[in-house]
Amino acid sequence: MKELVRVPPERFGTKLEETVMDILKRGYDYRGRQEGGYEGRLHPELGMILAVTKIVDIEDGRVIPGDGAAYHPTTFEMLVFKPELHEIVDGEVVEIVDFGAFVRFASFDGLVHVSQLTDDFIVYDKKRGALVGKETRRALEVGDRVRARVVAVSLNPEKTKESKINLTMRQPALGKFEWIMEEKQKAKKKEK
Amino acid sequence: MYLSEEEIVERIAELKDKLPSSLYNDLERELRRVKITEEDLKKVVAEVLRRYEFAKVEPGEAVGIVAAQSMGEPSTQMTMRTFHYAGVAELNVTLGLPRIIEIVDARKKPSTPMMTIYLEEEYAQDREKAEQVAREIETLYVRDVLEKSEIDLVNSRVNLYLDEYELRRKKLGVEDIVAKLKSIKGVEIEENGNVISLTLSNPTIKDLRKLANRVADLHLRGIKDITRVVLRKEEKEYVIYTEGSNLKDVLKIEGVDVTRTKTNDIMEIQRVLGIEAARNAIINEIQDTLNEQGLIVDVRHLMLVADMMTVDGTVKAIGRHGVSGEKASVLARAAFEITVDHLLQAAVTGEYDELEGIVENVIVGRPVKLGTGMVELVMRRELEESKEAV
Amino acid sequence: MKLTKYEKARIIGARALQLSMGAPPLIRISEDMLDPIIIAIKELEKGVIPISVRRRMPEKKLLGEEE
Repeated sequence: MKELVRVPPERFGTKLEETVMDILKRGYDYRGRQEGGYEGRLHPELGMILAVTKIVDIEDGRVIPGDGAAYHPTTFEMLVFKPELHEIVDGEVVEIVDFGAFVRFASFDGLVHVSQLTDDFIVYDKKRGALVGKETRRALEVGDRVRARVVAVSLNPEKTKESKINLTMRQPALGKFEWIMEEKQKAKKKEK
Repeated sequence: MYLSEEEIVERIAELKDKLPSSLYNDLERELRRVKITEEDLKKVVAEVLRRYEFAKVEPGEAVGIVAAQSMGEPSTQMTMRTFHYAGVAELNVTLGLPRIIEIVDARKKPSTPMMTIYLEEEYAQDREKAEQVAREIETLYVRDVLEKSEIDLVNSRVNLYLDEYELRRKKLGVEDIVAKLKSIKGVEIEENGNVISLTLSNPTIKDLRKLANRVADLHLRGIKDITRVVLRKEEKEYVIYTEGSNLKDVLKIEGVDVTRTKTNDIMEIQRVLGIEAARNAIINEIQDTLNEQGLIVDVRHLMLVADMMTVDGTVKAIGRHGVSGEKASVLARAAFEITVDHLLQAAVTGEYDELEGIVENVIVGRPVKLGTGMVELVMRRELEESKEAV
Repeated sequence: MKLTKYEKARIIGARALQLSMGAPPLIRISEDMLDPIIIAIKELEKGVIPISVRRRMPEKKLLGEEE
């Protein structure tokens, strides 16, 4: 990616590459606007920026009227993650509520609605803080590792918190890792 | 120990490449007249160079604005003065502010067209020959030599009474006029001293009236458009001043010095001599007009104006229909005159503004590309990183 | 290459602003020399200003950078 990086005068006198890297990673506030600080930000097209990995090139800085800072056009590489529709993701359950479970994968939290957990009827067990299948007695609790599929993506770069991702586990080979193992063994037995 | 003239010239020779020739020549001429020591000469040379460098226009200078102000200020002094000045030798010429406006507006015809005709060596010194040329140039109609003309209803004819004095002054004989009158068909000419009678066969009164008018308008000699000539003895030679201008035909007259003869009709110069001549004419006319009023403006300002008016090969006016009206930027045009029309037209045709010029950027509120705003600054990496005080 | 008066003004102005915003000065400064504009002028005289001018030809091509 190529961006104009503003290096403020007080940052002069240090290695330019280090300064620029720091600005790209952490950033600072300039007149009420965030300058740099890409890590952890949601890019409207690229998705979540996980890390600025490498600076490819820093061009000579320009000085514009009315500002003492140097503006360096900088080319750099980033590690990004953008959830795609129908993508299979592995994650961890971070919260259980009566209408479903929040699963954290990469840097996003996705919701698995109660109706999308299993084919079974699900009951919310308030005491355990778990969602339990009425017939199978399978339970989902905080800390469980699950595999799910992305069914809806709505990213909001302005407010990262408001981005919504919906997941489903109501398909073969999806669900809590333990359940998947159980199903596999069942299938093996059947074959025999 | 004073330097000799030769030594001085030798010593300033190195300035030849550094100074414009006019300045160099002035310096040489002045220095030849003074006694000066080697040391003082060096000081003079250094000072001349310093001042010359100081007077140079630097990139980014707003030359247009400076030119406008340099011409505008003296113009305000002119407005107060009379409109017309009794110009050279009883000829009436528009001068002062109206003349400047006329030039800058690139009018098709000046309000008082005028020529200054110089003559070739042998004609310029000889009054007789000069007068002859002048007579050849001035248009003469039959009307000009008539004392009166009358329509004789009894005999159904037109009688022309010629003015003897005028004839003598114009060096014309009755026979010359008769010869010209022969070009009118169906007319019998009778000559009787100063009276010429023209007879038509079976005329109505209307026919006679028509004939009388036609005869009066008959062109005797001279060049079209040149209504009056005045011969004047300048310092060393006779010069012809005319009212009315027709450069093309005057240049064809034998004895006219083609290289010096001039007119104040700039559009005519453009037609006859080309755009470069027109550019020079603009400069000279403005300068002469200003100087005539005792005002002095540096030629370079006038050159800029003339250049702007002639860059694209034809003389165009400064203003709505010329320089300002042809600007590439919509905003710049809208800023000058008829704002709404320009903006509307631009909106309808989907015009695009590159925001390259000054006016546009002032409107938009960006730094303008002029003076300090034109300077692009770049950080020098090695020094941006260095912390050491030197 | 000689700087035009406009270039000089811009450089001194920009540099003084940088100094006022906390850039480290590139000359030794003393107690009686704390005005950023004066420091910038001194820096320019010594040729240590970390700013160069980019001049363009009318066709917008760059004309090799110069100080």
